[in-house]
Amino acid sequence: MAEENAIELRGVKKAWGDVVAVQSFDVEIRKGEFFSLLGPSGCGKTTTLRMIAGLEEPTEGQILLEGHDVVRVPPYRRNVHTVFQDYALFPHMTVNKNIWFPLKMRGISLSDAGQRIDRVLRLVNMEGYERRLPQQLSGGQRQRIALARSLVDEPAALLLDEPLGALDFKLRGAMQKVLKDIQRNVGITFIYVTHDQTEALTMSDRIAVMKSGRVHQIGTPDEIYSRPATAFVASFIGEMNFLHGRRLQAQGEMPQAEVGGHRFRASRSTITGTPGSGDEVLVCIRTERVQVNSHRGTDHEVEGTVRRIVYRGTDYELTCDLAGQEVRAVVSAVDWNPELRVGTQARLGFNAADITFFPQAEEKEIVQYTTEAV
Amino acid sequence: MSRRNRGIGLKAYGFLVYFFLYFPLIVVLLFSFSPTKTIVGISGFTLKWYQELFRDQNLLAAFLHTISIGAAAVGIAVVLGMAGAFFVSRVHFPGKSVFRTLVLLPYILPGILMGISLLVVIKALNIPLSPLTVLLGHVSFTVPVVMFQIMSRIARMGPNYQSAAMDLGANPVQTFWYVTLPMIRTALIGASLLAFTVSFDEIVISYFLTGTWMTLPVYIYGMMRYGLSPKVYAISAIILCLSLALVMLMSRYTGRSADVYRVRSRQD
Ligand SMILES: Nc1ncnc2c1ncn2[C@@H]1O[C@H](COP(=O)(O)OP(=O)(O)OP(=O)(O)O)[C@@H](O)[C@H]1O
Ligand SMILES: [Mg+2]
Repeated sequence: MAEENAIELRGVKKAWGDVVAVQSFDVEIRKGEFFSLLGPSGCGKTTTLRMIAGLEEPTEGQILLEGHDVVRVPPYRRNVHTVFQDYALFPHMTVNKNIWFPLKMRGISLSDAGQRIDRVLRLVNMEGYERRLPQQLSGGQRQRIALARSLVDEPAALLLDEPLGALDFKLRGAMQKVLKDIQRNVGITFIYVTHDQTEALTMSDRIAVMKSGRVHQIGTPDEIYSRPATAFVASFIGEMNFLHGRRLQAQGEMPQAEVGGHRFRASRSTITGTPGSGDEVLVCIRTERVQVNSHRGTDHEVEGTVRRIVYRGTDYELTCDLAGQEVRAVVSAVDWNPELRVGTQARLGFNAADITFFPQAEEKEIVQYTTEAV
Repeated sequence: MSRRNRGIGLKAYGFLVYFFLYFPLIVVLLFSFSPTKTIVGISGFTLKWYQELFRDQNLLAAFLHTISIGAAAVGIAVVLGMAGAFFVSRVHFPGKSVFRTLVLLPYILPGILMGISLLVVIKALNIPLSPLTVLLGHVSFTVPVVMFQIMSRIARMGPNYQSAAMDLGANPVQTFWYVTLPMIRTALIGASLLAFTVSFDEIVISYFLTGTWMTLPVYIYGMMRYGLSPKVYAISAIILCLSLALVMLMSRYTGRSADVYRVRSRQD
């Protein structure tokens, strides 16, 4: 028998009247995988999670847990647990009783559950807090107890809805490591909801990037980062330049476009069909891939006027004017040349390997990094 | 200087308000121990009105009636009010927000209106007046009281705890028993005490719906037709103390849920 998937979604859709929260979601999530749902607020992440947990019924499609269709199975008979964003620890129960809860529902007495409770408390590093009530714990501690409660009866998968959203920046970083270590140790499938791209990139085996209920791309962090499937994914992850160009007749293998009188070749293009010459395209390159006054040879070199310089600690962000369009470049503070000043000319270098063309029609889906949903 | 004056003014004002509110109660309390029948000139101390009180079989019966009507009305109100509160907070139906705001209406409406309305219906249906009709009257305002309290507690609690319980393997019955009920417990107790207090001294509706079977307030009202007997002072003093005890008990339970848990946790 083939190794079955932990979770499988087939054409899953959820709509409330006219509001389509999720549509045509297809994915196979392997056992033990750390799978993230990433997207801006309101894109349908929580809804997807709630459908897998059984708290919401899909309008269309199938959900399979360990090979069985569970669409008609109530949440309390599904072998998955959710860690809610506000933790939902029962306020009238001590830490001990909270963690006991899923075992109690299976008819296991508190004394029989003792060892397993101790084990998960050790796992989340919270021994000695058994008798506390949830409101006597800090945010990070509550988070770990919620995690322990969801892990104690060893479910097939854990669904985590922005579990670190309420924590401050430092604690978040620490908890990311804790979560990842725990996931590796227990080997349970994690489905992790976040709107923080860094979190998704650093923790996940694979990521599904969503927008307005639609899945734009499913892939490894590297695939998502270096080969974004749509202009939206390109704009949502990392910092990206989008330039308006006109399609040129290809000379050789690579598609080509003209931006402000300069010819650019791209290693990738998602434009389908036979492109007419002169069609508008989006020419896209990451800010850290733009070379500034570099001695290394690049495929294309253009002159641009420096408009803005922003110091950001480890690097500088440079905004240049390229024939009426803005190009942003990130230069590491180590390589910084103090002769670059606002108003001076900078030599910008581009490599075809870093350039992607997207259809002009996708421009409206771009989220600018400055206005990115937080 | 002027600041101190303002403080004094405020204190005097506050004192006057409380004096105005509580003076009549204190007078009643004092006179219930006074040997003379008249209001003026208290001299000495006596328990004879209380003794007389306990010899009055009709009055004792009326007292028992009030207690049993109160208990029954609260019992029914807890069941119906809780079911109603969960229905309103879970099920979507047209006009829900209007219903939410009007839930307390039967309680707020003048008793005379409720009394007459109920009487009209009862007469139209040819139902004879009996303890059951009085109970019906009391249920009409205790249910909204309980329902309102439970509704606000559920609203504050949010649906996430129920989702979490189900998610962790609790079926709907277990979810209610282990999670929902303990979390609304204090609201339930507080609401019951409040409903009982309201039922205990309700007179207008009872007056309309009672035949010869009287509740205590109706009986006292009847007694007063023959003048202000010191017995009335005595029974009033007892009711005062009972209500006070109930209100104090109630204040322990009707706080915000989080506060209640914090108080409890400190005792642990
Ligand atoms: N019960 C509901 N009734 C109607 N619409 C809903 C309901 N729940 C969610 N929606 C809508 O579905 C869409 C997706 O919501 P969802 O909560 O899944 O977003 P999300 O990706 O989790 O967002 P966030 O990052 O803000 O939590 C939103 O437009 C939301 O308004
Ligand atoms: Mg959400």
